[in-house]
Amino acid sequence: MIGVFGKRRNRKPRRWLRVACAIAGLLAAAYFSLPLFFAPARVEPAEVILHLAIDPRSRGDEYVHRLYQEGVARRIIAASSQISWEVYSADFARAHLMEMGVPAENVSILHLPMLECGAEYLPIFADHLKARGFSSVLVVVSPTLTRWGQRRSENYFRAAGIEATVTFVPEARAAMLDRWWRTHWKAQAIALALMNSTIDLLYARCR
Amino acid sequence: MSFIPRRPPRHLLRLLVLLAVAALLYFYSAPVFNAAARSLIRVDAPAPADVVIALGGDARCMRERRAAEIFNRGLARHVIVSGVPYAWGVHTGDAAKRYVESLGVPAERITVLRDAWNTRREAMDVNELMRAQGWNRAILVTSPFHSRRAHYTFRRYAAEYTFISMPLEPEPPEWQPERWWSRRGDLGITVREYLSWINTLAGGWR
Repeated sequence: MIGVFGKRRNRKPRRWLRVACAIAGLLAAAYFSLPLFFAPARVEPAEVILHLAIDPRSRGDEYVHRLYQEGVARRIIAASSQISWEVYSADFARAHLMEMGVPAENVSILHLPMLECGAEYLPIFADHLKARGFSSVLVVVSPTLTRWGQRRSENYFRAAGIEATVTFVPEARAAMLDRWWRTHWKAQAIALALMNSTIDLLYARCR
Repeated sequence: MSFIPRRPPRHLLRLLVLLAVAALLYFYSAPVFNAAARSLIRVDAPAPADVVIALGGDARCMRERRAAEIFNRGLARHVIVSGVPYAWGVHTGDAAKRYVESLGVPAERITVLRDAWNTRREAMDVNELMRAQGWNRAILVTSPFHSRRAHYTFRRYAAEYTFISMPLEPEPPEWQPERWWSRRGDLGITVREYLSWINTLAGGWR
């Protein structure tokens, strides 16, 4: 009898050890698969660049200017929703691009409403591009672009008759993933990207 | 022939327990989730203070508008707004200051916190500012979901001073605690706020 109880007592620590190992394995797998979650950078020549990487971390203006200089596209549309009272960061991005040498007639602005998820903006972009006669676009977004988000956006544009490539600033992605667990904004950006991608799946208009 | 009662099979018992739990969740999850979201809100009774602080991060500037209203009601003699260098040529703190000025607050009564990247940083900056200005009481204005965490953070990092929480009303277009999971935006905000609470309580990233 004592032997039986003794055996049972020994099983518990072993079970906890197994659970701990499984959790550690899952965390390690999640950590190493993080780069797989995010989309790869892709650049294809297009008629227009849709510049959405206008935020404190992306350094999107410089990247879009570089693409313009390389002849990837001859037109730029800077788009943003408001970031403060009647202040749209797209206006400043346009001024910055012009200061870097892009002719004013080649940079336009699109002011966006404040919507709940990224997918809700896609019809606005597609309508805006079609109304101006563009049939191909290179979309530059923040470095938290996921594979799923990239595929969803490109498929949407394609269905609307627009050839699209969605990309980001490669330097900004490298900076974001560099020892991300030590910096608040990096960990926050990654956690929000994971969270938003998951939550979007729950809502038909965001999928 | 005698009737011998047999114990129901174990898997049937498990199924019944599972069904009971599912029924409980179905009927009681909504009130529990609503209460969990309401617990994020902290509202104190209005009281006079030296300064009213509109915490950063509201692109609609509703926090700044409420701070200006509180100033205009005479509950505070100064206004603090905050922001970050958002993009080339634009600082959201300067934009917030212009908006508060347009609502009748004199420019010399407005202070801008220029690197408000998160609540903890704002609390530490306010701590220094209040010490320098000799202020003792401040009204905190933020979104309702953020109000309890903001108050907790300011008490922790500016412990010498008194903070009064007067958040925005939980009405559209703001976040609302009732049935928050049915709206994409409110679900994201609620989950993010709970994650932020974990980070705050753990004293994690700054």
